[in-house]
Amino acid sequence: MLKIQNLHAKIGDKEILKGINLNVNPGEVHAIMGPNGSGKSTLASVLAGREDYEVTDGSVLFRDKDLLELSPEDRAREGIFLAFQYPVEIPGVTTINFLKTALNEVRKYRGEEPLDAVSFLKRMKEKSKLVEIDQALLSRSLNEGFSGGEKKRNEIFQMAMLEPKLAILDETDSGLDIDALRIVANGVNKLKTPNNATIVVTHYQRLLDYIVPDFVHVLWNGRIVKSGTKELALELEEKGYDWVKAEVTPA
Amino acid sequence: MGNSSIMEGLKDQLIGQIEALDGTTGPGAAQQKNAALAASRGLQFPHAKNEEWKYSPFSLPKNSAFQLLASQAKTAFHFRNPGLEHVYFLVFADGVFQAGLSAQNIPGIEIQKIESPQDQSLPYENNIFNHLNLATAHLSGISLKVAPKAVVDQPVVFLHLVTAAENAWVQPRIQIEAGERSEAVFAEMWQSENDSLLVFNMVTELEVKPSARIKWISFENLSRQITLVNQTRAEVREKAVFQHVVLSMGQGFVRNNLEIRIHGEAGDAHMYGLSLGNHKQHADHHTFVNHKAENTTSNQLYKGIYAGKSIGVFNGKILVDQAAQKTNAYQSSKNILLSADAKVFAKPQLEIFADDVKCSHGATIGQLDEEPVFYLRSRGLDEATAKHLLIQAFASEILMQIPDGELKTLVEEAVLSEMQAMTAPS
Repeated sequence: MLKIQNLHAKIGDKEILKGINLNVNPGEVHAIMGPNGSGKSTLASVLAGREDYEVTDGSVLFRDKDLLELSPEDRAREGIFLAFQYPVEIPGVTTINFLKTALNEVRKYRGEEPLDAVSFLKRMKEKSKLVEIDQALLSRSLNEGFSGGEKKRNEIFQMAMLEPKLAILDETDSGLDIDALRIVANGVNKLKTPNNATIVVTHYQRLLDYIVPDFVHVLWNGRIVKSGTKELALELEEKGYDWVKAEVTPA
Repeated sequence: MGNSSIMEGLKDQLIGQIEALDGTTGPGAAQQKNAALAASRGLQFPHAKNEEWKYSPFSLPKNSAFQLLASQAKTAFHFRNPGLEHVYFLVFADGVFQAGLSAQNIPGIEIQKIESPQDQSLPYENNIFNHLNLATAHLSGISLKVAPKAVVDQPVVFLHLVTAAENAWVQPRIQIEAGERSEAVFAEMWQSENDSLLVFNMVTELEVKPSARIKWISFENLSRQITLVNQTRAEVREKAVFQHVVLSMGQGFVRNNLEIRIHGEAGDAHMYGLSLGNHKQHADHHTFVNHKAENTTSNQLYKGIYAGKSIGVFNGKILVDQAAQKTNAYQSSKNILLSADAKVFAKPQLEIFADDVKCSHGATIGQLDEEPVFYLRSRGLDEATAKHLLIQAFASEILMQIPDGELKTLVEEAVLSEMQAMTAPS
């Protein structure tokens, strides 16, 4: 589904990704872990098409298409979803308002009929239950005055509505208490099918207690320096990142 | 020939035409006209060296002669109803109130010609436009009285229409006295029939009596050839509420002078503006609020979105007299630039002589934030749609101040289509 080969990216003059290789297949959950500043969020941003970053080398294929050639909106329409680490507040734009437009843009791209108001509301009701988000929030200005937990739940709600093929969760656990974390993780788990895949970007292991990964990758200094199964995450939790750094740094 | 001599020539032209007009009905009116003309002779059209006009110097193309229209009572005019069925139209055509084209009976409102304007509210700024306008008030003016306690059931819409083929200068004057505890919504809009240059030199004076509630909507959707100098003065009495909403859009030149004096305790003034600048449009909002009594409130919010080579100006002055303790006065100007060639000048001014007041002012000028644009794109909206949605949201805070109904729908539709033009990929 996703094939990243030798991906290099920089912001300004600073090279942040220095040769990422990663394959993600349908039905898989991949966790990308690493210390602060290792390039985790940059990877998520580059995949979603944030224009602050310049890709200098390498390739990304998503369902056999050159992802790097696509605009952010076309990536979304192809089925990529980024759950933001810091969801923006947009006064005057309600979640329902923009999501209806977004959903129909995605459907149009896929050659599907737009959803009528009734079907949209029905779907909204269903999905808002799934992520336990108060429907009243969805009629308010996007994220304005939302708590940290409400913002993240709203991200997962949007993901549920848009039904992406590849969801990238960028530090979705940051700023969440344990109840909110459980609710968000539950939502993600319920959305999992054999046809979609998830990349969970996180600093801490605790989210992975709820969203169990098939693969864990350690990102450090712009490269994936170690890959393993969920046990690797537990080991990192116990020992920290220093031993991985020591392992890959030539003495 | 420099601009100043062109403008001097225009002044002489206009004064000569006003002198030649008939129709002064009594010695009072004649005296008023002569005094106003004498004052006009001693003043100049404002130029860039005039502090209050430095971003909006008044200029017109050279070799353009203007015909001052003030006396033609015509019957053959047609106006395009912009889709308002439930309003009372009061039509000014070629600068003259046309009773025949206007609503015949507005319950609660009495309409008269201005026999002798008392000019009770001396303007804050002694500019030539005021005096020129005053000189034809007996011909181009009407006076409305809203009866005490009357609640006018539909908005009253002043429609200013010019059909003349030649370059025209018109100067309607409207005086409104809103009786105690009356309620009414007024609106004004402009139409032109052809491509000749038009100058509207408008003056509106409102007397808002105690506990009256008056809303005014100025829908300045102007075509390219229109220059509008729109001066509005309101005297707000005890416990009265005056709300002014101005939409400046289209392509012309507009200078708004809005002056509000709050004379009575617990009087309120709310002032909102939305400018949508595109092409070479020029929109200038000058406001002046004078708090003269205790416990008075004023609130100003002016927003602007500027594309193309448009220019926006906001200059807001708040003056709190020593007697006006416990005044609340807020002022904010927020502006978004969509193009590198658009410009905004914002200048807030506070003069406070009372010691127990709450005042705040602020101005922001910036581009559309990239982060929300990216956020919406990452959900599948294309860039133009995302930007359109964001500026729509930015403008909604002003549009929601217009009372629900046809008028609001008309304004919203015009705003939406203008925004589409402004955010369309070039």
